[in-house]
Amino acid sequence: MGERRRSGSPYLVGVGKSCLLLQFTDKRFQPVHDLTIGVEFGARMITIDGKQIKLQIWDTAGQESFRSITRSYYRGAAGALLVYDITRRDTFNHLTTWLEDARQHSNSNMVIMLIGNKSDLESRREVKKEEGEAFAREHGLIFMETSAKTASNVEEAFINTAKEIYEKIQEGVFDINNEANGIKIGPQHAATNATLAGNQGGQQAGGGCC
Amino acid sequence: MLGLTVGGSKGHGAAAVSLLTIISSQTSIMGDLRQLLSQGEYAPFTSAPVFESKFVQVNRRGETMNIHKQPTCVTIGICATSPSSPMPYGMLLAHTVPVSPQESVTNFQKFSERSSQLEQLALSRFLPLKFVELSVHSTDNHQLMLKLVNGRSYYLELCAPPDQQHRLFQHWLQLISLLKPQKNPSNTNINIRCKDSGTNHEKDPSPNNSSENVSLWQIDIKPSS
Repeated sequence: MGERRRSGSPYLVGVGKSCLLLQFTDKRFQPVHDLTIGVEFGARMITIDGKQIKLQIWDTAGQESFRSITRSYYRGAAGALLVYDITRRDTFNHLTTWLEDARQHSNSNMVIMLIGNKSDLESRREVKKEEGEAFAREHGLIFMETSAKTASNVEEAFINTAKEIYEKIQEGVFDINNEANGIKIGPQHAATNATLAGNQGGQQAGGGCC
Repeated sequence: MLGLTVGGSKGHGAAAVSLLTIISSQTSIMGDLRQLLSQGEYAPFTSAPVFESKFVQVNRRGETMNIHKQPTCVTIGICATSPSSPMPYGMLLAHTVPVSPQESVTNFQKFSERSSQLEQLALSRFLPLKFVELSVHSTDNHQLMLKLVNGRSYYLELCAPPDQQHRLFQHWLQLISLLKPQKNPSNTNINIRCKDSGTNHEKDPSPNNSSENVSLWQIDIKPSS
């Protein structure tokens, strides 16, 4: 399977936020990854509607002990990717809590995309795709299943979130002069902040780091 | 030896040396990290006071770690939550990245005239200080040890012009003293002695600490087994 335990923490398994970021920014998958502490930053230039847009991505810690720290980063974000692991039902069950947190501490216009990660592990699936779709529909989210390992839908997830933000800018929903909305207009392009949030998963024995 | 006055039960809040005092002692020219933050791309840190220095990553023996034939350089900034807050809150880590062709014509470029126009500074990590332990690794070599809550340790050597190195390192020593949790609740003048761990050659058997070849920001570098 090519999966290994997270280095330094043999029993902690993440949903794959850091791996999604790495796949999007560096186009590579790293099976062994340290637990995220605080925030890790990533950025990538994309083109939407012929305009250069710099996506500024904040990869936040998913563990419960870092929760209060994570809350303070929603406010300056234009978008968020809420990530669960399709092979672990508990990460899906915790989505409501994460979503409430995000909505409570963020800009009311923040675009939220729901991501079911690790779609390559079909044989270990615990959450049906239809369940993810239903949750997204019920809460007004965009939905996509991804695999940070195979890169399936990773580009699309970030770019579709950015497109949704861009459309909101065009519609005048976002005040582009207020940088608290997570949007900064440069001479040639906009910089857009997006946050990765999701369940880290508890003390879970077994392989799989992302 | 550094003297630190601690007042009453307020602990940190009443420290005679505050982050703002240390920052004000830094040169009035805005550092590269501060310039980057002031551009507004990292909204929560735009107006945060920052004390910053450049470091090169070394191993426990104090030898420079060359990754891709390049020394691993990192800019570290200790920041407060706001200009009105005297207490340090978080650590920012930044490194230089190549400027993409699309970006080279924008205002996101690194302003420093001295540096190559093909590189720009980018923020790589933010670590709340409660998850970080900063200590002196070698006073003589101006080296610090940064230990994260996950057990990883990194060794950093201060990068500064020779005439500024000692003075700048003294400010880092002050900061380390400031970050130490206060155990004495009474109004006492506490002298904090900097414990110099020197250049210890012993290998730590713990896999968590085997970070001899782990880069502080290049997460693709794996620890030596």
